[in-house]
Parts: sequence; structure tokens; C-alpha cells
Amino acid sequence: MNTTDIIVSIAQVAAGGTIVQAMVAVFRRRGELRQLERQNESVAVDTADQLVGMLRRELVESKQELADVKQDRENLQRQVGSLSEHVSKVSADLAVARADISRMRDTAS
Amino acid sequence: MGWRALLAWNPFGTMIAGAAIILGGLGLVIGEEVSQGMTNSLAGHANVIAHLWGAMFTIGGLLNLYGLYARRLLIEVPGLYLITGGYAFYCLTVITGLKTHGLAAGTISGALTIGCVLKAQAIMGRARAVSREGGEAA
Repeated sequence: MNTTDIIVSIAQVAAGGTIVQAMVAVFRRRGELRQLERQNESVAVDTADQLVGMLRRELVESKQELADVKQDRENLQRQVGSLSEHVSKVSADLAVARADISRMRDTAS
Repeated sequence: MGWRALLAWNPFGTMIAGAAIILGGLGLVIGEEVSQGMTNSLAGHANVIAHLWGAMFTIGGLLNLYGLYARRLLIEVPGLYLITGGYAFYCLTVITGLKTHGLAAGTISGALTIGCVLKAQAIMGRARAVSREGGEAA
């Protein structure tokens, strides 16, 4: 038996050993591996749940912001309306005052 | 998680399983022709052994790839062990059969053997830890 034979038998033992290991994993460690699988799945589901919750919170917040902005715009439009009303009233007063002034000048002269 | 995400997550695991399927398939179909190192070192029985090795390697690669993408550890781990055996066997026979000419292939397959063993051990270790925690909690 020379070195080549020894190494080849080591290789065969290694290959056979891994087959045994594979069978051990399937038959004797089945419960543990299943449990780890379930845990990985539950971790994935938890992560997805958290993500969905976060997105929903953001959605609600941005809807709230949108409503606030709309409210602000309405208020501003109302202000603009009242201001333009005011301006037209003031300019009408101005026209009346000018007419009065010109009438007074006419009577004075 | 889609397959793209899993591929991005496991690039080396996927490629190692793919290489095992291709190399094992070749060994399964054409026998000892697939490796001069095996022919030299297994003088006499090389053809039969190369077919067996190819079968083991292909099965391991398929199991590992399926387990990886279906996220089933119970299938992935046995596949990983079979791939380990396939790479270990190839590593030892190619270096024995070709001496220094087999060093390149031997080094690569030896490194992959160690990588597969480490990954399988890591998964088994985590499984043991989880079952211990679960046992204490129950």
C-alpha cells in the first residue's frame, strides 16, 4: 500500500463521511433544522410587517400634511378675496373723494 | 424574497452548487473521461467510481440549489454535505493523480470543500442554538 492508495482511501472515506453527515442532518437533526426554518420565516414575516406598518404610518402622515396644506390654501384664498373686496371698496371711496374735491374746486373758483 | 434577491444574497453558494451540478453531470454521463487525475489515481475502478461520484455531486448540487432557493434548510444542508464530499474527493484524487499538475484544481476544490463544511457547520450550529433557546423557553 503506497501513498496514493492511502490518499485515495482517505478521499473515499471523506466522501462516504459526508454522505453519512447528510443522512444525520436529515434523520437526526430534522427537528432542529425545521425550527430554524420556521424562525427564519417568522423573522422575514416580522420584517415585512414592520415595513408595512412604517409605510402605512408615513402614508397617514402625508395625508394629514396634504389636508393641512389644503386648509392653508383655502384660508389664503379667503384672505385674498376679502382683501380684493377691501381694495375695490377703497378705490370706490377714492373715486368719490376725487369727485368731491373736483366739485369743491369748481365751487371755489 | 424573489430569486434575484436570493441570488444577490448567495452569489457564491449558487455558483458552487451550479458548478457541482455541471461537473457532477459530466462525471455521471461520461465517467472517468471527466478528470485525468481521477483516472490516474483510481487505476482500475476509475470509471465506476467517477459515475458514482458524478451522481453524488449532481444530487448534492440539485438539493443545495433547491434548498437555497426554496428556503428549506432541511434540503439545503444534506445537499451541502454531498457537495462537500464531492469536492473533497475531487481535490484529493486530482492532486494524487496529477501531482503538481493537479495543484491548481486541487487548491480550488479544497478551498470550496472547506467553505462548504464551514457553511454547513454554521447552519447546524445555529439550528442547535435555536432549538436550545426554544427548549428553555418551553
